[in-house]
Amino acid sequence: MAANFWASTHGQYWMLDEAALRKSRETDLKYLKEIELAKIRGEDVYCFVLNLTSWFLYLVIAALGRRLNVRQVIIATAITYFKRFYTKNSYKNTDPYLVAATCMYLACKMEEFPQHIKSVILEMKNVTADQGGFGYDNQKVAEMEFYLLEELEFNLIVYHPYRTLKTLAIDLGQKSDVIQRAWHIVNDLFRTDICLVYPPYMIAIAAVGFVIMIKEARANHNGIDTRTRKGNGSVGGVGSGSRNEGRGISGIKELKQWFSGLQVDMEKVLEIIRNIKNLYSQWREVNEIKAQDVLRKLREAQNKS
Amino acid sequence: MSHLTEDDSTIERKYVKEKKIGEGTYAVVYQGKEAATGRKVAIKKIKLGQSQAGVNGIELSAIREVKSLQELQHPNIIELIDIFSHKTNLNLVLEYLDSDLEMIIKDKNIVFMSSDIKSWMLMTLRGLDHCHKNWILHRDMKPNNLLVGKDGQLKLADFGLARDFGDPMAKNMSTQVVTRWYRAPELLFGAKQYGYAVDMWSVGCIFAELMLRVPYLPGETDIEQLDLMFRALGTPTEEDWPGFNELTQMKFQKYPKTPLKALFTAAGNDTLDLLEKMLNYDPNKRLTTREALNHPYFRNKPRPTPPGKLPKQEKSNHLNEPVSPSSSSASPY
Repeated sequence: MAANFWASTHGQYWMLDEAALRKSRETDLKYLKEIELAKIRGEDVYCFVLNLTSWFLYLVIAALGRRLNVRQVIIATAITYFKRFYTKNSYKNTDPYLVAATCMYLACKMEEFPQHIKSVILEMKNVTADQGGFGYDNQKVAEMEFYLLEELEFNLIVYHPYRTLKTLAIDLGQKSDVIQRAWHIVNDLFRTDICLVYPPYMIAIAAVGFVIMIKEARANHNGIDTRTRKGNGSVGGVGSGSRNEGRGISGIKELKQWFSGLQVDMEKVLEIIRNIKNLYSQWREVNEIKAQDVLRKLREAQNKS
Repeated sequence: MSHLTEDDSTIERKYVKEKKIGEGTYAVVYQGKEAATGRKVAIKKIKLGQSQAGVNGIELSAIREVKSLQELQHPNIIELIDIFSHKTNLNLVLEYLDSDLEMIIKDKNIVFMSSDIKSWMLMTLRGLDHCHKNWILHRDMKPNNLLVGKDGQLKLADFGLARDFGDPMAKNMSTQVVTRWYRAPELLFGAKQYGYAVDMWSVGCIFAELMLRVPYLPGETDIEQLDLMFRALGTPTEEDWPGFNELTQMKFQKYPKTPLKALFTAAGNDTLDLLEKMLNYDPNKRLTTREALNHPYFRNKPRPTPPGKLPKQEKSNHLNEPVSPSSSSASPY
């Protein structure tokens, strides 16, 4: 599962650490401090910018992808390109909308679903209509493509957790809802920078692990209910769970057993699971409007320069 | 590999363009050399796409070539030495090899020993195995795209059609890939989802061509291609290829299966067994690169000729580089 990944450009050159990411945001942070926008969250300014802005831009790219009718994998590739690009550039100095559109344009080609440059531009105009708009033409996007390629160091193939999920699905059986739920979690994780930090197969495994944890928590909860009502039930929730869900591995016990048998660095997987928990705890807190505000300020700065 | 953003003059300082050797719709190819070492290189300069609709982005085939070669480093795959990007063009610096398997096959002054064929097959399969291990389909395997260096090493080239095959959701893959003569039956029937097996079919055709010294199934049209295929290998039945009857409404003449031995009279049993398994109609039963490399053919005698001792074209080059005797870098798996 992992062997080819580590030989790929993704595995060799694009596994970054938190410190590098933090550093890559310095220019933007400095500027936000200057205009005092960062003070809203004080010390936590790094998280503030990183979460809000990249979360918001995820939404822009995903919306563009949906308008172009592309598969989730293409959206994931475009977002990864986008994030890689901004490990070397600042939002302040390079317009994220132009980069977002170019990333989508390139990702479509890369994933063999080429779109005309004009359709990408047209849909980007629609997506950003009430958020400052998109004023670039073919020429600008085409030129940005060259620059993007260069900043990506011409490393275009991106591995995604989806492939691993497909492999795990073989184990778990077609009826299993675990994979489907994990799939959605993986989609959500592209709002964060996790894809820059952890190998995709680990992200997939962590998403599956998270689903199993939730299932277990629910089963235990139900188990307690059963016990109090029926007065017995040492097997309660667990047993009934496996009966309800049909073929494949589905009982909590079996799932946990299967999961712990996966050959993977569990320490790292747990780290990712913590990230998943963070993501969902921030969900409500993250306010798109604020993100737009930050982004607007950064884009304004760039129009000035 | 260094990725520099420099202007053309820097490229010219590091690499000397010597002559234009080709021009396509999206690229101009130059022969040149690396200034510091004198190593021969091919420089592919990719232009910004232009159409009636105005400026376009970079051509899809250029993107494919870059994305594949960036992932693949192997003695039997052409090396992408360098990439330079300038505002509106992209320069790929590739290893330059002056011969290819098609030229060698066509050169009737060269006599092939079966050990030579085995050596070319081995190198082809090793290169292809490396592509497949990295989830990349070549999709245009043919003798013309198998370059041969002076040291005899064979290298897969031209990844302009290559795509990566990792995306499990990919649908509607184009069937207009692979030069017709080397095109797998499932492609000829317009299969929208296909896999590594299409490359293996092409390798089977190349194997046959190495023995016959002429293309094995040279169809002029897709229909004729199928007809030639069925004449040569028998019209497939539902048993040979489960699902075959549902692939097409067309009715084909029922040709009987003739043993390969009838055409490949000089070939040994292991050779024919390998060939037959590469040309299995059912893509699911066709050999994988790994299975092919493990086939007894490669273990049995004669041993494959070391690359440095392979026959090459006489009309050797004007350049005064010594022909390096290649230590058989062909380490067995």
